Amino acid sequence: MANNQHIFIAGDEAHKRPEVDRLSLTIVSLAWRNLWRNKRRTWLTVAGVAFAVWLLIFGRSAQEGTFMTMVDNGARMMTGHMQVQHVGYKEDPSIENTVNLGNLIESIRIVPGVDHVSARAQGFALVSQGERSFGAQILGVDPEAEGQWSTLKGMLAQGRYPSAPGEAMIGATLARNLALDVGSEMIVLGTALQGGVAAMSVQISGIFDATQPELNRSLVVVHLDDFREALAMSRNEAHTIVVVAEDVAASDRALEIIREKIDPNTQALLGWRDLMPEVEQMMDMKSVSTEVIFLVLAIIVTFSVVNTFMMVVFERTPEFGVLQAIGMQLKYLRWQLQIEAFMLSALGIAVGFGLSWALILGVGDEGLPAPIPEDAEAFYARFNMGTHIMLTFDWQAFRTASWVFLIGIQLGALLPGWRLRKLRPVDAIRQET
Amino acid sequence: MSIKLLFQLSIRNILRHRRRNLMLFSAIAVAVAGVSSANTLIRGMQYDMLNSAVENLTGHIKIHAPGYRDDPNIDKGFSLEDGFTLPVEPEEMLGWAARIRIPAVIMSERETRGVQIVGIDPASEHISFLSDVPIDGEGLTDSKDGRILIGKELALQLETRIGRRIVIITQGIDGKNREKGYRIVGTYDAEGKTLEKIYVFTGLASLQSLLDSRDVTEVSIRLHEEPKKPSIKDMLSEVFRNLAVLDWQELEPMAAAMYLFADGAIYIWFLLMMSALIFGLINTLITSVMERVRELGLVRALGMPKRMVVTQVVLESTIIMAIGVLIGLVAGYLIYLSIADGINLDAFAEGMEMMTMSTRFIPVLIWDDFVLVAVMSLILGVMASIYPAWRAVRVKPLDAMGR
Repeated sequence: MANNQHIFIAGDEAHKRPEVDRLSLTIVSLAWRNLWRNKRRTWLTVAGVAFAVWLLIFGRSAQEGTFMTMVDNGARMMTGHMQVQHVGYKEDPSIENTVNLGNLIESIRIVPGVDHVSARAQGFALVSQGERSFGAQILGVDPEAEGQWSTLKGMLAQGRYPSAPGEAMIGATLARNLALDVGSEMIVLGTALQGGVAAMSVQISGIFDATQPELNRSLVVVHLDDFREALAMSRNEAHTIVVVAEDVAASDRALEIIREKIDPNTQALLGWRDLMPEVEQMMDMKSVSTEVIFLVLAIIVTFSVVNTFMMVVFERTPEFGVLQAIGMQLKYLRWQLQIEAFMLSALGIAVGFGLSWALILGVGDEGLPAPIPEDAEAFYARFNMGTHIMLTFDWQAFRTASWVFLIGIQLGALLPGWRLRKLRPVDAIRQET
Repeated sequence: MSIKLLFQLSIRNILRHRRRNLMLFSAIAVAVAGVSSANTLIRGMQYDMLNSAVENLTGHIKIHAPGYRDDPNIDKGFSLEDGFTLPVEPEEMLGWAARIRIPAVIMSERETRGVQIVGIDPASEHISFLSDVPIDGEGLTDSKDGRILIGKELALQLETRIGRRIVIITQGIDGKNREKGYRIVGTYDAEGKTLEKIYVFTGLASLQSLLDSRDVTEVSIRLHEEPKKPSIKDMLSEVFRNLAVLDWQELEPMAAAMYLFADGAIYIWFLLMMSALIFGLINTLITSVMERVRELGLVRALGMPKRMVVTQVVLESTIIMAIGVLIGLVAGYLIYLSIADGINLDAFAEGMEMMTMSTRFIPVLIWDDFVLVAVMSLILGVMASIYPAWRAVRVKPLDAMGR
């Protein structure tokens, strides 16, 4: 009752500044005490908000982690994180669209965050052994440079990664179709730069069994020197410069620096978003579905909190009647409810934040084991997903979740506050609990 | 005391706080509507994956010679006698088609690509994507048609067009290469570019004569419905003992994995939404019990057994849940109706293609899913009432009435 006494005095003389401050302080402390009058209910409500916040942060973090792993694995298997190409090469991947290397490789290599840079030449050709021929994608690489990062090297089923000119590595399905083994000779026939016939004879040094069926069926990796020689390309020419960064985030930072170094009239810089458009679209699509989940969750939680407030107001009707009877203005009662609502959501968000942080720290660098159903390993491999999901705290998700719940719950608390207008002190005091 | 009385008590208790319970109903309804309409999207996705997988020349069931999948060549073919009919009841399947499908190299004046050449009888291809896609120029007329139908994207890559000639190199029955010039009769525009880049079509009989063989490499069967598949597959395995009878799950493991994922997604989505909801439900039930402590004390003193008290709280929770679920399911159904025509996902074409899905997304309503959501929600409602019911039973008549 001591508090009520305060309010009586304060409310009466609200026009005096110091008194107003005391009043607001009183309202805040009233709100805080009210919150803990029913500990169980407050904790349950806080738990609801915290669960939703946790779910959103964890969901987004896991999603980000999964996609970043997909991008990184994809980059390290074939495309690299970034590529420099002839401006027209993406639209028209014909062998004439080459880039002049100049000293680009050296200058990109020193960009912070860049791990490996090397040139590639590629084209389509007919590969044959004896009477059998198949169409294949021929990739001319610098084996010394690419061997350091290519995960294709780790997918060798037989033999070894090519190391010298004259050696080649081919996909397992193609090898089977052509009846080739390690050590066999294979003829590659294609079109050279000036329209002549490009031919080379290579020895199979290794056969890889990649997780992507397309690669197994149609990829042949040869030495860049052989490729250039067969196609009559100069040593200064390549189709792509492949850049591998430390990780996806580093590649995003390095992209702008590298962009400064290329000649925009003849050269194009492609980031992983251009190289793997399907992954980016999958990310966008997932984001849309995440937003829908977010919305539904926000509505459910806000409704639950409003419900709690309805109960609170109902229970305290006699009290409110007394307060009003002794002169407390309605707006202060409403303020008190709003402050209570703010405390609830702030607590919920804080607990949710703590839980997410604890989980992400607990999982650590090992990552969370991905829930791989039976028979789905191939599926994971196809999408370049790892067996563990790396979690990084998603601040964006945390910010959004915080704002949505803060505002939603504050708006929700307006409803019971609005109901107070009908409060008549005499009836209210008489109402039984 | 009868269950009817308990029922009445519960209903009245709910009606005592209409506005409060209205909030609860709304929360439950939003969750249930969200889950049930999302389920129709997930099911739509699942059906779409199945359809795409089945339409891409796979069919529900496919018959190959053993070894063909490792080494897809005409020497891994098998022969069908003249006038062969598939021993499946016609009303159980949409149709079947015999084809040759082998790797080939296609060359235009400017470019060379690797493709799969497919010899078809156009009359029986109503079972594959070929019958649905728009074709520029003409389609193939019959099995003897010696012209070629290629994908739009491939035509772009080869820098060629309808009416021009291309050369196909492929391996004949004797293992030696065959080379033949074809005139492009038309280009087809499939939903994904992958199909357009991989498959070129010509008449089956004409391809057989090029390869000097009378064999086919596959028989593809499209059924009316997936559930009939296992029994028909078993039957066919009995008939074609020397051949490999495979279903689409074995041929397209990626799509099959996706299909399974969708089943799981329905449960996960439900669990998440309902977990967020349950805090509010428990909260309300506890408050509702605590408000009634004096009443509960009175009825206990008058001789209401403990289990009746428990039943009453459980009933109350279940009724609240049931009403919310009902509103939610109706709302979910309305949402489904509003998107039943499909959602356009052109913006995500490549991503969808990677997941073997088409870009027009049509939700599919399965009543069993609605029932599942309803049943799971009611179970959840009972679970949520356990703690409040326990609290209600703990009320000591004397203490309660003395308050």
